[in-house]
Amino acid sequence: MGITEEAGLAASSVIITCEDLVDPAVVLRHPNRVLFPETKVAAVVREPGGAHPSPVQGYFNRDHAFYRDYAQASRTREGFDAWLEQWVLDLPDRSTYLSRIDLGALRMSDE
Amino acid sequence: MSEAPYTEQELMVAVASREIRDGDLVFVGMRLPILAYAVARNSHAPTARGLFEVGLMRDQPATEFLGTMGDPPNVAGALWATRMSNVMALLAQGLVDLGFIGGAEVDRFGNLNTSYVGDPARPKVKLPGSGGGADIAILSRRWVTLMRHERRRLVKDVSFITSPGFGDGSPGWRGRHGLLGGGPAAIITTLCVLRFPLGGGEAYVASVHPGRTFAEVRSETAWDIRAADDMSETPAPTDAELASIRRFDPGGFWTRG
Repeated sequence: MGITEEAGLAASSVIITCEDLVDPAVVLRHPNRVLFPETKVAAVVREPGGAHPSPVQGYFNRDHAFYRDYAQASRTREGFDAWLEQWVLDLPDRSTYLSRIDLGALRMSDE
Repeated sequence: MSEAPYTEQELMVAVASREIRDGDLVFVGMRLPILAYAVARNSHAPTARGLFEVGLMRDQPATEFLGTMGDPPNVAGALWATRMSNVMALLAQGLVDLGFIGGAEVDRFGNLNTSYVGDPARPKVKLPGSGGGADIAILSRRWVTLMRHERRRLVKDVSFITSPGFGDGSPGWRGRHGLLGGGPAAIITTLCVLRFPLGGGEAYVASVHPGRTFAEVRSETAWDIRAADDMSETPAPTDAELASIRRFDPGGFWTRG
């Protein structure tokens, strides 16, 4: 969990993005596993794949190739600019981004 | 070098894995030490446990390739998935036997710089900083660093001590400054293995890697480095070590780049 708990508590408010929304009763069944209280949370956004290219435990692995491509591209200003256009500026919306990656291929083999 | 049966990185991983003793609690750093823990755990150190700064303890390597210590395969099968500060607390209790630290620059007394190149007041380059490096250098019972052997990296005096080794090299420096752990045990480079006198002091060449020479080491080190009286050749990676490394880094991302 790294510094997730400390980061959430240090913030004045938190926006959470998640893969799945569940009934509050599911979370509150184990209040000892709650990282920070609801009073810190300004908004919850259900956005599947929102962490990409980082992983979400139980959903999809880290997209190593995507990171590697970015690291290669960002070694030069021109490469970074081209990457920015391809993956940020030229994308009209979220669904276009998702259509250009393959989250299914990143599912964990043992899950 | 293209004919060599192993890469520089594979040799460094094998050498690093041999620093891990059975039963050790190892504070595993990023990159090559992740592989070193996996190799050691699957050979001579079956009960070594790995502690990861991201908040994980494991008693076995991850079953899939890791790009970072926080990847899902490293969490799956962990003994403990907790907060970073709890992991650092174990370190502060003196429970970590061996730590791995990355470094940009190291000096003859094993002090590491990952903060500034040049005058810290007007740095030529700003580096990422300590991360957990200073904590590991101060608190683990012994620690090891791996780096490319270049004159600009192995310097006489670092311009900034991010993670302390043996300070000014005088006897008892660490104790006088209240540093709990024993300090650096080895610097593993692309050319050789450096070690330190018992109780601290100046690094010397303990072994030179196969195909390399002490003259090369001297020319790539920015101080007048000494050889151990019993300086030897670093044992090459064994077939078993190479097989293990290639199992955990199948695409050669870390070791065949």
